[in-house]
Amino acid sequence: MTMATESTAKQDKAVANGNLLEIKNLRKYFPIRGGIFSRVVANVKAVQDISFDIKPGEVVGLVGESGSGKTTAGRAILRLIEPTAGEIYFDGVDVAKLKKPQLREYRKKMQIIFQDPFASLNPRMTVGDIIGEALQIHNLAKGKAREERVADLLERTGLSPTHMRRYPHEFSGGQRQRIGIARALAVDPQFIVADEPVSALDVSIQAQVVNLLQDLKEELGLTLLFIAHDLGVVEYISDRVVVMYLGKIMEIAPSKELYSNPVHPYTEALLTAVPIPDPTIKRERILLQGDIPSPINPPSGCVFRTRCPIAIEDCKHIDPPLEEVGPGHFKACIRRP
Amino acid sequence: MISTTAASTAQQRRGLKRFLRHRLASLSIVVIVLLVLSAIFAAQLVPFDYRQPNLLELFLPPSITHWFGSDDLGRDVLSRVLYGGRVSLLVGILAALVSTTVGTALGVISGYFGGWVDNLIMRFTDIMLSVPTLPILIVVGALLKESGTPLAEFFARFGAAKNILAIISIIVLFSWMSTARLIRAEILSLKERDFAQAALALGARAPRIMFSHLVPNALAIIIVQATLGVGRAILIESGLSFLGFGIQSPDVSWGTMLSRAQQYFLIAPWLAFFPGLMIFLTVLSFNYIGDGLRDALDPRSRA
Repeated sequence: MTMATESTAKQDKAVANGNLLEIKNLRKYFPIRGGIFSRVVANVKAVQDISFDIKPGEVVGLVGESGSGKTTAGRAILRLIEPTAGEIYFDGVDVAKLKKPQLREYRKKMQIIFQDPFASLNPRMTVGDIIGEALQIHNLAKGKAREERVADLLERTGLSPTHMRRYPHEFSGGQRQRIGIARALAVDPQFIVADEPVSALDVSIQAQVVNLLQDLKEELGLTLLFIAHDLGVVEYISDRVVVMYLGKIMEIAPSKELYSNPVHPYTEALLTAVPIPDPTIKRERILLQGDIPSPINPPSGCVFRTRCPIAIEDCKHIDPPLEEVGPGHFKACIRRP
Repeated sequence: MISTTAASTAQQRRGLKRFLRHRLASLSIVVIVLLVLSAIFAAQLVPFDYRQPNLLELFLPPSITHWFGSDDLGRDVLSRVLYGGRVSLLVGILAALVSTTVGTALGVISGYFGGWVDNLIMRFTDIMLSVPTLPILIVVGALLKESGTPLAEFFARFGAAKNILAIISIIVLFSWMSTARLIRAEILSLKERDFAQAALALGARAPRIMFSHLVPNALAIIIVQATLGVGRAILIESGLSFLGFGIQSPDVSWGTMLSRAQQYFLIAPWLAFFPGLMIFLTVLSFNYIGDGLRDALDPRSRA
């Protein structure tokens, strides 16, 4: 009873401001130590002051090239990495400030799906143990009930209950990713961070896994933060997209809006890199010059200015704020109205 | 639950199959079992009293009556080898087990928790590694022999087993460090792997992550350390006895026989050969058993 009233009270709170998750000024710096006294000589500024919201039932895509801080942001939200600063409100509770015992309760509500299906499953445990462990940790089901639940999860993710006794190495990449998804679902989470869940898979398998996530999301009413470096995959599954570059947010927009009307020059460059499955269509590609700068010493002002085709002198001095350019559409660029 | 046990027995059967496929490992098990049995039933097997000198039969080479020859006091080498196995095998196996366990536990804790815990354990490990063993052994040995010291009194409680226990303790004290360091390094890398992160994300507590995710994946290193440890322990024991504590005459171990044989090596090489052969067989067998175990316990290797 108390559980039920508690959860409805929380739901009300979430509905009140309309968000399941609110991330405010999240930062993650990794210190670099040097010298004999291990002093901090520099920081890798992986995530610099990002803020965004996720509504219940929404799928938010988080994109950016390698080194833009997407994965760090995703893991910091789950506190797999301790954030340096910032607030993470889940259902109105600041998860960033929770102590370990309370955090354990929240671990049930927030889960993660990993990029590499070969590294994410313990090679020495059977599939049944891998999925069942979550139930064991939180005392959710025992004995026969646990086994039935694991069987149900396997079926739900397109595998067979007979797979329970096998080891991860006996499966293909796509199947392993399904096992990873089943494990994340075992605790009935409300929110899942999918950290490039299809990047390591064959293209033919990618669609299957994305479709599975889509189906599960609808069936179970999941909220997803879908991290990817490929806008093509994100377009299909996301309601809204957050574009990151060098630890900062460049643009946030509803999916359709972002693809039809990108404002930030970085988003434009990313969009022209999405392959079109029609060789007759010729397209002007915006090629970014050089590599992403080092997050140890990011450029002053706008972090993108060193590779931006339209940068001007002012970009060196002004750190562009996120400004609303349309309903739900934000950009951080002083060159675009 | 029933099917889980069925699954685990099926798993065990597969593991056993993998082990038996290792010809050398299976053979080594046979060798070790024979050595252990001969040590246990030494009293029934020996043709002569291993303590009884016989001044008429000094330095006899191997023959029908004395299969392994006789030593500088005319004692039957075969009998001494059989009795010596009691001490050497017991010390070798127990010391290796305990030091690997201690090293693994410290290494896992150090690597998993990091920070000041890691610093404390690793600096202690460094100290133990840099302490010159010999002077410490002499001091500890003296304290053990001198009745009335706290150390001697502590071990006196164990009665007949006190010598062996003291030896094992000393060996463990000086041999857990390499295991601790290796395991710590392995845990440092394992704990960042996604499957460990997944367990953390699921809300698993530290002991579960350490013992059901990290340690099983470090098993290969642990087993290698344990098998190497057996040989090392047998040899350290001989060194200890040579220094004047450990096993004392008329008791015997392979190590003491070996060190005693040094001075007669040119006139009676069989004095060194037979205990040496036993140590060699034991160490080699444990290494092969380690190889077999490593594969048997890894579900990825084919049965």
